[in-house]
Amino acid sequence: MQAIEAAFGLVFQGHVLLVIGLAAAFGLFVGAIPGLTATMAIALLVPVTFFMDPITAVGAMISCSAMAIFAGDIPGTLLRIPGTPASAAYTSEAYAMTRKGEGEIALGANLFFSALGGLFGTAVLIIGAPMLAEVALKFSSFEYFWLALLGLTCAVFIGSGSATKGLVSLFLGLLIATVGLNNPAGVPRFTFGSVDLMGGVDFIPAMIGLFAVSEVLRVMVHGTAGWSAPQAAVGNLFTGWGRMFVKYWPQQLRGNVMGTAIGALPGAGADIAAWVSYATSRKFSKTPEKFGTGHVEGIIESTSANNAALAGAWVPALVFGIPGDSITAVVIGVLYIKGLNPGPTIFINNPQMIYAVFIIFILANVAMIPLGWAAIKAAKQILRVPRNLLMPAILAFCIVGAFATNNAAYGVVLMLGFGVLGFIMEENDIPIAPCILGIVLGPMLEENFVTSMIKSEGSFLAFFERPIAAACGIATLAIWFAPPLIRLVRRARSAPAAA
Amino acid sequence: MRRQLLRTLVAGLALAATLPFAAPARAAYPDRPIQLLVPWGAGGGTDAVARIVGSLLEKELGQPVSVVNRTGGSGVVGHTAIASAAPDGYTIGIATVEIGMMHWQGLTPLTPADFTPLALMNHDIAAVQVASNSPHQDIKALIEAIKANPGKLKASGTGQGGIWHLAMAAMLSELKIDPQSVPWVPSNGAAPGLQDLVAGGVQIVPCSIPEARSLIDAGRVKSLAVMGAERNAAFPNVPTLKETVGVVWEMGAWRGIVAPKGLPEDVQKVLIPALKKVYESKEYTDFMSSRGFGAVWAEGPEFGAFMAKGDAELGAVMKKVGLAR
Amino acid sequence: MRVNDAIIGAALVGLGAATTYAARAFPAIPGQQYGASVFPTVVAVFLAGCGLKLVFDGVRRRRVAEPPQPGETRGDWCRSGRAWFNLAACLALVAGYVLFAPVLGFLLAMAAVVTGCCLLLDAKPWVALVVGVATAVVIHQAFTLLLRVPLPRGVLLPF
Repeated sequence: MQAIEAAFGLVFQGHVLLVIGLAAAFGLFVGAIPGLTATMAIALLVPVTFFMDPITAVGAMISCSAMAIFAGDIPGTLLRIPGTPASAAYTSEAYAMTRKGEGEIALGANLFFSALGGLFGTAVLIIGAPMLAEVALKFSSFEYFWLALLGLTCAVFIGSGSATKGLVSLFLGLLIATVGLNNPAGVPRFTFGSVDLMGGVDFIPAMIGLFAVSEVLRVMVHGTAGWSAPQAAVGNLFTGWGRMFVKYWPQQLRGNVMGTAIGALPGAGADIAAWVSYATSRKFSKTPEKFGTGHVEGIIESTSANNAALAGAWVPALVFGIPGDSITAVVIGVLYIKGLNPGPTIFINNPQMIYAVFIIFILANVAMIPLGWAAIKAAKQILRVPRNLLMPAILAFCIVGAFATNNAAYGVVLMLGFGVLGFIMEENDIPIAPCILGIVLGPMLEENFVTSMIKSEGSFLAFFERPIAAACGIATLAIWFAPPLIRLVRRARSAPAAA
Repeated sequence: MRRQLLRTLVAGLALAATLPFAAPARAAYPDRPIQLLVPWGAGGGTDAVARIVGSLLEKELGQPVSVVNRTGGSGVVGHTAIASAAPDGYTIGIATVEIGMMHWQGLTPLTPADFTPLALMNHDIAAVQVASNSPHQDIKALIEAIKANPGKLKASGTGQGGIWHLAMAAMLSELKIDPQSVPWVPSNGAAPGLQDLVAGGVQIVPCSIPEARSLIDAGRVKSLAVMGAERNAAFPNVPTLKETVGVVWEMGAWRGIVAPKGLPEDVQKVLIPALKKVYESKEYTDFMSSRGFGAVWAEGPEFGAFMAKGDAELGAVMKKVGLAR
Repeated sequence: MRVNDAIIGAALVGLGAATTYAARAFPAIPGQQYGASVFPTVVAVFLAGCGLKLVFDGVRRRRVAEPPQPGETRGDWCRSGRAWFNLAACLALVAGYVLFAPVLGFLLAMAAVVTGCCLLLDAKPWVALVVGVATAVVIHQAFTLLLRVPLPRGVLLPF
């Protein structure tokens, strides 16, 4: 109890709160710029934190990253430029809402359920961090292999339209992921002698190209007409949220649980969580046919999962110093510099610090609502700009965003190439989202397959020998083979009845 | 049609307004912001070192120093970007041990000779880690187990042909054991390798001690021996290979600040003393000791000789274990 | 640019075959069964499989017309010279940016791209110019000063 009091004392000081507020505004700004990521916002903060006391430094990082992640959904919804692979799961859906004139509703839902998801994740972090971290540490390449496969399976459930075309997009993404040196054998593949291609295909320029540049090209071809739906303003915010919360609470809860559970696994936690949640939402929805046409249900579930996963990523980071994602990787470095060495002992030696971190988490997620709301209101004005001036400006942001991922013109070239690819794909009803998932999860799938094979000396049975791996494997196989099997059994049963 | 033609003209004109005037005359170096290129991603150890060096160097030079990540291709992309920048002192970079490895693998023609060495800032020696619940509680027992059952124990901690892979292979070959008797499981760096060690996926992770520190502190991982001449000051209980099995073998990862080849003397005379001040600053030493990184200094030609020696040694090891091409 | 599924399918089969062929040259991991060629080959085989399916579908129903998305007009633009011109000009502007930005510097090159694109979308020339210059300046200030992104410096201007 004393520790909690001490923690409140640490956090509620003028300068600490001021820095946290400034960091939040900075995160909001960086996140809202298309192509800039939360990781980048955090990395830019690092040199500044050298000159802060520990709690201020950690508080700045937490509030900055939480805001940046949420703000990444703003350009995704309004301009179809997703900020993270996790938000790519629902970018098309949210943009469809904007086109229907419901951009503010989409963003509002996003904001509200992001904050709720974050709070849920924080609660789990507070109650069960050490326990969850134990489970996360049991994951070896066998488990990760199944997890990646499960994430990829979701791509097939996400798309509306032809399943074959969804698979084409997915396999294209997986093929693109093989370019470069980043493979278990460490040899260059499909690089054609180019040093840039050795670095592989970064998913950010690819995402900007597939989603945003393809849209610019479409406008170039079709003209600016056809987007005249007036943007509806949400009258009373709280009744809107209340209604959504009452209507979609099971989805929200499911997203939160899934997000925290998968997010706590070091690696691609938040991404997989958002995609799995979107697919689950569609699978169990009463109105799956509405998905893809600008329907808020899937957005709620996956954005809940996305933000819950963020807090989840801190579980292995705080307890064992293992980064859950690139953001916590930066933060772990800062923790060391500040003498807050992560590990189980931090909970015993420095309980007031840990409680202070929790308090900042809660503060950041609560502060997200007013700050985010102001950002939405400001960003919404973008839609008033005539489209023949807006589209070129979007293109400009795409170019600098793609450039900034690796500070090289190569990013812009990639972006352009993917813009053309995305344009052609969408003209022919091939969905683009699975391609992104393929690019993100491809390396994870390959690495964990090959390393598992090295460990097991070539025995496929090893994928079922460890208990968690076996459970994940059976679940994945069941998702693949259960529907056709059930159909077969039904047909077999109904056949004699008909005869 | 005429309107279209006009449009083409205007759009073309807007783009083709190529008017390269002469560059403005140069004042005393540095008179504009400097870029510090990092071949590895934000969040890693190299990035952290680069960011502290960058922010301290900024104070010394009075010009902004922006840390710029150029990642990908196991460091090839970033190192190439440093080497191919203009040698004017406005683009410098942080080179890592990989510069002495990748040309042996045939990935790039770049060697340490393609850079102007400025200052070695950090050197971390490899050590042998096992899980705390491992049946092999000291290095002798581990080596006996490797000899008794070649191929059974697996090691991880970096990609195929990475520095820790080489350290392990070199140690085994010094001990007259076939390097293939510990198959290498490639991983995306030390952290995932260590996680796999605790999860029971692999049995050995030969990374540096600072990388394993949080799990050692948490009592999940045990460090059996350091592959260096001396013990690590932060971990005085971990013996060296020489003390335990009598093998003198030293290998580790280093980081240093370099510039493109042909950097003018007068620029070097500004940068090297500034880097020395950074290295000696309280902020830097505090940072290095808090992360457990080994601070080692070498400047100019001395650093160049260090790189060349490491390059030759790594080449020899890679040929021996069949990783060189 | 809607083409028959059969054509896309055939292209995918070709891509899959080429990938499989190229992957055969990738070296194995010493002493291991599964090397660099396994994953690309498996993906390529599946891709070619999907391609075959598309070929069959495409041949079976020669042309699939799906209802356009709400709020979107998808006419057959392929016969419009203007559409092709706009597409090519937009791509050329971005490609031009990549080529000339190191010479012109970010400000000029980006202003040119944005101005050009606005003109392609029928903006008034002076509006296009104002938007182009303003966008370039705003982005330049935000990215170089606040975010420290090293945008290309031209030979022309000292920034």
